[in-house]
Amino acid sequence: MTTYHELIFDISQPGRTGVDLPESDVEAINLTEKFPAHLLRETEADLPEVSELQLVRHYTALSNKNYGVDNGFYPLGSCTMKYNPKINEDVARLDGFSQIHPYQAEETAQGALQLLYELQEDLAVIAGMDAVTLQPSAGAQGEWTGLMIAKHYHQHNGENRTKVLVPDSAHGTNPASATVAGFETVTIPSNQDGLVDVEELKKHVDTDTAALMLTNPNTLGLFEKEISEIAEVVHNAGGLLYYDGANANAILDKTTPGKMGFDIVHLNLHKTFTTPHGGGGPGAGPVGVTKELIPFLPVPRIEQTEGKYVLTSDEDLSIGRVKGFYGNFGILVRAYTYIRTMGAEGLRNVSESAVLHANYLKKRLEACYVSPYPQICKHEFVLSGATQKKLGVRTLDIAKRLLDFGYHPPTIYFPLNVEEGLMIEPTETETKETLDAFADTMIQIAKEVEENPEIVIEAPHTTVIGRVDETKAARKPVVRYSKEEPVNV
Amino acid sequence: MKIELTESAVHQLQSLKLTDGQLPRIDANMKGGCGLAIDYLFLVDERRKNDYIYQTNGISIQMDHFTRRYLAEDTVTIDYTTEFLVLSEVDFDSSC
Repeated sequence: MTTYHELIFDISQPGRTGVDLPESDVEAINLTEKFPAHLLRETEADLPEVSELQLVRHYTALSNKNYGVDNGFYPLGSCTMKYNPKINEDVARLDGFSQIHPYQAEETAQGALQLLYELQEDLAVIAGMDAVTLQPSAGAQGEWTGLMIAKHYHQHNGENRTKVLVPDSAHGTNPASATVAGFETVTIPSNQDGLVDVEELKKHVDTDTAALMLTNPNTLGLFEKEISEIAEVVHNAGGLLYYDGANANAILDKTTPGKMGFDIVHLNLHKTFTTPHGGGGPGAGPVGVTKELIPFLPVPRIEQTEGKYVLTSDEDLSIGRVKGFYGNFGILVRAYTYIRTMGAEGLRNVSESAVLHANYLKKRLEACYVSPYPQICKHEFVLSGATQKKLGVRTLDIAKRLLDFGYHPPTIYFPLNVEEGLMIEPTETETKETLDAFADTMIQIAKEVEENPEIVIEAPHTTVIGRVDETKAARKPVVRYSKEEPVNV
Repeated sequence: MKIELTESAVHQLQSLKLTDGQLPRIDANMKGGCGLAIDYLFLVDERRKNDYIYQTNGISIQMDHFTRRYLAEDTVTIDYTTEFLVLSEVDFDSSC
């Protein structure tokens, strides 16, 4: 039986086609005469030739290889893999949103501009900020945008601050964004409770400090209880406090980064606000700021004047454009739909349920896995596979074994300060039955480690491809199709 | 897999005072998040279940199945300057 696992190039047959066009009734032109000779191909493009049905089966087979939230449980810590409501898709596909063009005149796109304006306002309330830009097209670009705002702010004040502080539990994008924005990164160690060591922070904060980047709750799922003191330490030195919104799913309508003392916030719409995790895009990472920083926001900005929505670009202190046009509009429509569907009370329920689910799952799994931070967590928690390591099985083996039971594994080996870490974020959208089934599976795997470790060490057993040689994949990647050496996947 | 010890590593290992059940170990150290990185540590600890034991220069070195999987086709050199270093071509960083 044909399983359609072949590459489309491998099922190609010369002359086969998926289209049947009528004879042209206009005079044909020779396209090769329209281009300079040096730009023309010397050989035919080796494109696959297949029927329409083959094409449909090929792409259907490819889609079946994907694993997403619509397939099953996806407890990837700090990624907030929650269900993306289908009403978001319905609204994003309305003609009024999907058929407009960014070059249209403002007066013919008032509805779209109103939506963007209201989304800015909603996100500002959620973040406790005074203004928001929707332009950044991902969380990491939001970080860079926020840091460039900080840089311009300090420079405008006659200061050339060079350092950005990040805790050792920070997301990897934080130091990366700081480096791209031209700052030196300084790592602040956590204390034994998994929180920022305030005394260590004090040692590193000085007049060179541009900002401290922080998630709260942090990547261990723990709330930084000393956040007010942390903010005071940074602000007293003239620095700014940057909020990485990756973990905002834990605090909706409970508190805001603004109340905690943050000056700049980015929000990941694909995490907290149910837009698709795009595997590279399109995405959105809106950035909010306090009033002192508003002049430095990117342009154009959307404002409401005399009952109309207008785009303004005449801000002298702005860092400029960070994205073509006004951001990824379709994604912004989805997030707006989610926020308006849920309302403030609904968003509060989101966070309360996310925290409840995480603590329920944590409590069930603590019997079999080391819990290095046993206190009540927020939306996610981190376990350690240290016990299993002594039995000759590593966390990566456990992650691979989960694939056999149809689960996407948790985030593993992160944060780096937990030995053999398993970072689990169940989200609010899963049922108790799903949480229990996952817990039962993790407990079963822990028993297998004790009684039959081979089955874990050699996992996965049920996937199309078994254990991948990561070393070979990293050192000798095959990234280009070759007819001579076809790769069957 | 072949394990080689430099002269300074042999000297240092011979002077190690090990308690009962302890042996030197080569251990894969994973670092994750959005990507995956692996490097190797040299340490002294207790036996893990199903460890492999390698003999070189009269010294026993232990390794778990996981680490062995990554180093299977490689020559690993243990050096010592101010600390033990595991020199291998089989370390990598990947990220998204």
